[in-house]
Amino acid sequence: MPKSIVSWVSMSPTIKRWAPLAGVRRRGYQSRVSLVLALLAAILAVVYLHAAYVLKVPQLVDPVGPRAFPYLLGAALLLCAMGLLLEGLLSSVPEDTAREPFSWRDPRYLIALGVMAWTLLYFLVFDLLGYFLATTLFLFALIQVFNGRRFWISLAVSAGFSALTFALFDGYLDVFLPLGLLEGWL
Amino acid sequence: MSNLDIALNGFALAMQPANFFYIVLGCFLGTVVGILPGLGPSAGMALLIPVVFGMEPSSALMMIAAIYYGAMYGGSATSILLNTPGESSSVMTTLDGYQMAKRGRAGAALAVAAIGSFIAGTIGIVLLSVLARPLAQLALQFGPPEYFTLMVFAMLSAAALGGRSVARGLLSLLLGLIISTIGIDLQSGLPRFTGGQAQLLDGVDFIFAAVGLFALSEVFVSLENHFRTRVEVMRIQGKLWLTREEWRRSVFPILRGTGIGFIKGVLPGGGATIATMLSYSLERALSKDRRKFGTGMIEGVAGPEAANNAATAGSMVPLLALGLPGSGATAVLLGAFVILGVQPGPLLMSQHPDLFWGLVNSMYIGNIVLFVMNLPLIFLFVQLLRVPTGILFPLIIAISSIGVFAVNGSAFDLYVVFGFGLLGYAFRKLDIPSAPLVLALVLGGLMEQSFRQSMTISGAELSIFTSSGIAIFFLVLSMVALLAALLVPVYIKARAKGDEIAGTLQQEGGT
Repeated sequence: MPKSIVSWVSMSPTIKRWAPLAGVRRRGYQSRVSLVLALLAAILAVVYLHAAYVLKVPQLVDPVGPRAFPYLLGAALLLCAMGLLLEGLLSSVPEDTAREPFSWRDPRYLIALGVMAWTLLYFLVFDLLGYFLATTLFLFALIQVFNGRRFWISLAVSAGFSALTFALFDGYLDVFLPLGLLEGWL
Repeated sequence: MSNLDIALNGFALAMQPANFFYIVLGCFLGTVVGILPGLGPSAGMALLIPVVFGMEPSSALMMIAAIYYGAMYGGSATSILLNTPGESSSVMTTLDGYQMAKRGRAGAALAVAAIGSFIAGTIGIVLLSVLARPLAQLALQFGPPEYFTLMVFAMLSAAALGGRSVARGLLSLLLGLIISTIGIDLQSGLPRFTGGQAQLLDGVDFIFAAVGLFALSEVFVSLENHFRTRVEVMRIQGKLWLTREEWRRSVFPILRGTGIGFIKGVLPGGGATIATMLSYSLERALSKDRRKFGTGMIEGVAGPEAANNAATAGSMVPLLALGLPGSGATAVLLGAFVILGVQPGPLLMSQHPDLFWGLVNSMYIGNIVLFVMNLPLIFLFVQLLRVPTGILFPLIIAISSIGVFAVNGSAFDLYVVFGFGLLGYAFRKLDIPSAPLVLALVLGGLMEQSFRQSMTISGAELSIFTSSGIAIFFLVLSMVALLAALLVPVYIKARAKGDEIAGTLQQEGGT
């Protein structure tokens, strides 16, 4: 392409104005988020509307039945998806200049992922190990990592907190908490 | 019995030793929740609701309400001493409050925050006492179509005005409404959208959403930034009181903040946070030294702090009189009411006047207690800021697990909360507000019920929603809220661009 045409294309105010719509210019974070959300909302709306459609409605119900409200919500979600699409195409959400660009290699996301995985594991063994053991182990590991590997402090805080809350909630406030492996001991 | 007698009985109920104890405990916990970074009033209330299951409803409600308005007081200390807002409604306080602390005027900043909060809170409760009754009487005329359109207005406003994008607010709202349809349909007995899971037949409890979205996701975000942020707590310097000059400068901002806050609190959408922004903008616009805002102007602390406490009292008006929350925090409060077997709304005042007036009057007492906690005793509370966050955040997850497990005694609920925690984390990364989802989850069942009742009355004619003046009024308000949310940012953007062009022209003219 001749150099003059390239410079004309890059200089043209019309092209500049429509560049976001045509996808010529690289979109900002907020625009990309809106476009992805539009797609997800549209998929969810279709799935939800289908799930509402296949509901087996009993014969004796009120005039509109149990499907009507979900149909309304599904339709509203489709409209919302269109709104998000427009928002993304027109780049109408202001970009946050202070925001750091997203990168999977950012160690912060690994930290968040680790905390989430550890929390999920805690919830999965909550019944099996019992409140006291599961909570002590969960807290101990996190406090060790986030409070500077002070073994005895981490152990004292985690075991002390678990024992104190167990006594307070299970013993005093009548909130049932599972004993798990300690069932025969306590 | 005269109205005055009933109101005075409410005072007697609030002053009973057990209730007084729970008010003080609620104020204490609210101040702690407000001061601790990472725990807002919504999360704080949601975590503690399971604890009050077995309590006397009036005592429990006084305590939960005290946590709500107590957190509004406590948030200012974190903003002033740490430059980190304890909750979103304290963001504006950081602008000038922290600067005052840096200049050695932390004592005055804390004092004006406490005094402003006390004055605004007290005026707000007086207005609540006056306005709730006529509004409740008006609401007695509402039928299902009026309630449906009122809920449409409340939810649309909350969704459209609560975040940086209208569409994302609506997405959050619709997700909440969709989740509220999970479980057995109460009118037909048909299970809907449960995926065959027996644990979902009763639906998804709003507490799980509130704990996951507000508490768990906050912990995930805070811990991922744990090794990057080092915050320094400022020492409280200077007398914890105001000079004569500071009084003079603070009185009118406090009164204006009270007015703005109360009105914004009554209206749904944005709640206290928007009230503080409006108050700050107004004070800056009215000031002769507007350029000095952001450098430690006491007006910038007095106005917003008054506004957020007045908004708290204001938000109780629709909650108590109509049974309608306008924000995430009041949605959690409504959930607490329902769990304790109390349905707020127009009938509350006539059927349970003792409970209504007991709760309202407990707020006067709570305000006094909070004033004491946040002025002479603030030295004790700020020690909480020294608790290492590496210990604090894991403890919040453990407390969440107790609260959630207490609801049904089922580990399945923990998985649901975990799911909401992940969703909340994603919401934060994608700038989607969480409050509309919780609000929709709390009100969804009621909204569907009034929709279907309206359809039954009209024989499935949608025109019933335009058949009464009140319903039309709420539909028009909904459109106004939606249009305002869409057009105001466009106007602001255009005006900023206009200012920029004018500035450039002026510069060019000068040269």
